[in-house]
Amino acid sequence: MREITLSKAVNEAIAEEMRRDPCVFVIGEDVAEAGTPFKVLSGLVEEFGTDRIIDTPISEPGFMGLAVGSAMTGMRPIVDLMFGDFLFLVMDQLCNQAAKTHYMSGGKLSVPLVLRTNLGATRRSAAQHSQSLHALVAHIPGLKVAMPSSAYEAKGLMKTAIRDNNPVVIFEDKLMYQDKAGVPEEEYLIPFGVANIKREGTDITLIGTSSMVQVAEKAALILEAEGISAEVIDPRTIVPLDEATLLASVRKTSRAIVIDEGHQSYGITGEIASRLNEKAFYHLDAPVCRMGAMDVPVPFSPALEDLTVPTPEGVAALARRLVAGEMLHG
Amino acid sequence: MAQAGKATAAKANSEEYLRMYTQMVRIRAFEDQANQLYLSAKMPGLTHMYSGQEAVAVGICEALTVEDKITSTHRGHGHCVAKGAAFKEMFCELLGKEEGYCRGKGGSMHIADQSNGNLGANAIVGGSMGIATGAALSAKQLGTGAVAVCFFGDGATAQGLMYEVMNMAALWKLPVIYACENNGYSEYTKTAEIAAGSLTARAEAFGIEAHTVDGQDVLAVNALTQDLVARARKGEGPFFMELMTYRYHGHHVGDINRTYYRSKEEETLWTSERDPITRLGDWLTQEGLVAAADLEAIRAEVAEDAEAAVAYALAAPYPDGSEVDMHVYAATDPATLQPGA
Amino acid sequence: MAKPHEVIMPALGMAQETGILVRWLVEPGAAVTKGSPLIEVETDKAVQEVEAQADGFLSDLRAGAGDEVPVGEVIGLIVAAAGDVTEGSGAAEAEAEPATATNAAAPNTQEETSVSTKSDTNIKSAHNDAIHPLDPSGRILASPKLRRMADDAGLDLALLVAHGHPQPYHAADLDLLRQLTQAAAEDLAADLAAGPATGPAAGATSGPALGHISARVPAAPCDGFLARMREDAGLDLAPMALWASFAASALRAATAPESPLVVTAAVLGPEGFAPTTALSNPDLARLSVQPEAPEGATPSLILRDLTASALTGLRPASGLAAPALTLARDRNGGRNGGSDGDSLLVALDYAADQLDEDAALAVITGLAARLADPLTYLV
Repeated sequence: MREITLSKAVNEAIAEEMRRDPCVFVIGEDVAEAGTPFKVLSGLVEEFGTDRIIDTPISEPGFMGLAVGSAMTGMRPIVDLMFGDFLFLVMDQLCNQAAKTHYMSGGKLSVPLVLRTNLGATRRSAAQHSQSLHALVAHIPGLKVAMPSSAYEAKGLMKTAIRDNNPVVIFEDKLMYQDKAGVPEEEYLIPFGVANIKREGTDITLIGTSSMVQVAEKAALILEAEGISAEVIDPRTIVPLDEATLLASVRKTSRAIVIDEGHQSYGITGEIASRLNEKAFYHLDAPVCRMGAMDVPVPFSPALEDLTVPTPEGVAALARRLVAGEMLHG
Repeated sequence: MAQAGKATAAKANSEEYLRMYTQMVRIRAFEDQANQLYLSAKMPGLTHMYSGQEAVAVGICEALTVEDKITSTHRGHGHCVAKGAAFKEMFCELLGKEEGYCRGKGGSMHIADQSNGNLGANAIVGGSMGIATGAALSAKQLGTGAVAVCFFGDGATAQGLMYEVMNMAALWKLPVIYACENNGYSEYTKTAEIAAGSLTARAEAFGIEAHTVDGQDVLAVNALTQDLVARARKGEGPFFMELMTYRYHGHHVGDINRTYYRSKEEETLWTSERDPITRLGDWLTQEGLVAAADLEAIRAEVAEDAEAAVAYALAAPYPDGSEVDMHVYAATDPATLQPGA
Repeated sequence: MAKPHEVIMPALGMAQETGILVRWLVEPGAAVTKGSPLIEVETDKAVQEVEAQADGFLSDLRAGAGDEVPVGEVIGLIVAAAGDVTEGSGAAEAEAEPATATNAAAPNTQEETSVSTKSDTNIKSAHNDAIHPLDPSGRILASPKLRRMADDAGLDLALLVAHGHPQPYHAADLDLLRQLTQAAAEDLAADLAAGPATGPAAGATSGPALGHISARVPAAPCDGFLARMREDAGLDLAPMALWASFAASALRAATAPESPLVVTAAVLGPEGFAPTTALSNPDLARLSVQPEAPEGATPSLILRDLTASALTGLRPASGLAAPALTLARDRNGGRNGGSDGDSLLVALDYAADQLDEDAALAVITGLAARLADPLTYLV
């Protein structure tokens, strides 16, 4: 199977969907000639023109609102939000308008849009360009949240997102754009709400999102050398969440760690851990643990930034203690 | 109002004028009933009366087709009626009943009538400006020739979103008309105290052609709108209208003691001398186009319709409890999610 | 205008249920014009003037100055002609309106009910916490998985505790627990197979065969408990109070007796057994206040405390009036010559017609568990 970068995978997905459906278009800052600062959309304006790859002024609330109105009236916009940190700017249009329109209208109006943005720290971009804010939108009924962990997921999830008739927020890890993975030539879509077991194991379940899946896989290798068998699962979408797969795994291994790059407190890890606790309680031989990013704004200095995110060694160390039956807290 | 030369044209348009009259009367009757429902504690939540501003909604909507879109505000019953909504479904929605336009899930502040092109009232001030502009973008991309009208109040000119979308609308020449209903007050504060400078100049700063019109004169509003809509359809948009009008009631139904921000004399001036329904009625009878008795008959019939619709809605059933978690997500046909679909 | 216009107590706020009619601003029977002030209403926010909504004459007043009226209720009428004016009752009357007003009020009530249910739950759970406080030294720490597995297999985690196995327990400890349970059963079988004591005592014995079961538990838990009672609570409890309470509790759990349990307790001192005391239901009373049994009460259990002496056991020479428990101390010479490593030796002698094997085993096992973990069983 050919290997392509995550950036190319996203580009392919969008191009294919725009060819398939003339109502799909892209709107955002520097999406046309520039192809976005990350160059993910390069080449699209040449094929589809500036009517369908629309450059906007720096008006996040404005073009988010436009996208909502456009989606309500027959189009299928892909909003490009340059940095996930700008989510705060579009919250009213995304959460008060897009997320609630279908419900408030009793099912008569729909908002089939995709908000494409990113997450991920350790790029030395400092606090306002490094956040992973998917928990904020996962909390809002009416939105769906997808988190591709590789080029393969990125293409498959993006295609589904575009065809889904709801507002979907899709977060790519900006550190992964040049990472390659096997991506079939033939068309494929990845359904929402279906987790992927990346590696089978028996002693502990490691649930990771986005690039934390790779962190979990590396931890699993470290643990394997020590005779500990870790199962690694990628939920792929946070909303909807494939609880059944996660629960089946934890019932098998009786131990779990949830790893996510959002802040540790009040985030994705807490929600997933809580569900595992509730629904797999009598199968737990160790407390379900969370590993998120440190509860600090992302620091600029390289010496500090790298301390704030989960690492394979950190995950392996915690897994070791849980498998040994150590009492972490008195 | 009408010049001598227009007299003949006026006669030919009698039907249109009567329609406008009826629509304004319908809005007034609806609001009177809604007000009563609220005061008699039969209507849950909060609502905002449009009484006094009828000529704005009717003058504009009568220049639109059912394909044209509007977005509305928290003071949205007038726009809803003017764009073609029926009393029964509207009252049902205000009372949270199943037969409401939104199956009771939106209420007064989120009432939408998708089949008539009303994309919805909005509880966020200025919250629908992006949506209207987006609807105009769709119309342009799909080549439908439709226009979008964004209703908003003078208070909404304080929202940043307005400037962002006007900027983009102007850059891309979108077929959207920004209709600012300037009723002199932003909640409990005079407009002059919350909006610096001129409202129309704001639009002109983006190169958007702006007009000011007497919002109590339905024919003037309608004439202006027809002109701007025709030009917008040809790609000459966007446009900005400032309609000078007045709301008779308080900001919301409970805002009864208003003298601290609005004098009784001022209110009486508008209700007695600038009422849009009375004005049109007087003009129609003066021009000999309609008999006063006929206007009276219209008012009586509308009042009856409204009362019957209220009675119907009061007796209508609520949605079943099982609907509470329906419509959070729209369905997507699984067949479309297959490769090769 | 054939139908009179109803004047209602208006709802001026979202959560308002009643308003106070401060006063009518128009005399009954007087002319009223639409838009002119008609009543003054007081809500918890302010006093407001409310205008008449119709032209006519004020009639049929149903509420007077100072009355508190539910919102939506009719308080008067505006009639078309002066001749239609009628006297009202002056007081708020139940009419068709209140039904709807009640409906409108109902959602609020429902909200309140659900809120109070929530707070009830909070109170309950707080109450539960009070009954079973999370006491690090009292509760057996084990994973949910192990608890469930032990439960399913009918195994008692107390055996792990009695064995001195370090907590917290996990699924991996299930095998050990099985072994301990097996060993306990084998000990019992061996004891029974050994039969009653031989020798003169045996010959002199009349009546049915005697059973004998012995157990060993660490002394530290009880020593520690008694020490804490002395130091922290200022309670100088006699160890016998603890033994009697636990023995009765274990016996009760094993036999579910209908009448009060009477324990005759005797402590072996330097002069021999101190006078015997008979205690009634010592497990149901506070340790510091042991109720005496009435004169001549039949003992359910004979308890002899040898821990103050060097004796490690004592079997009855003659027939038993009731099952007999002896407690002795095996001094192990722990660290620093202290008693850390001491064990308590517990033995139960019983006649087959007093206890069957299962009950006897349950008594000794139960007593052993209690001695190994006093706090859990005393709470």
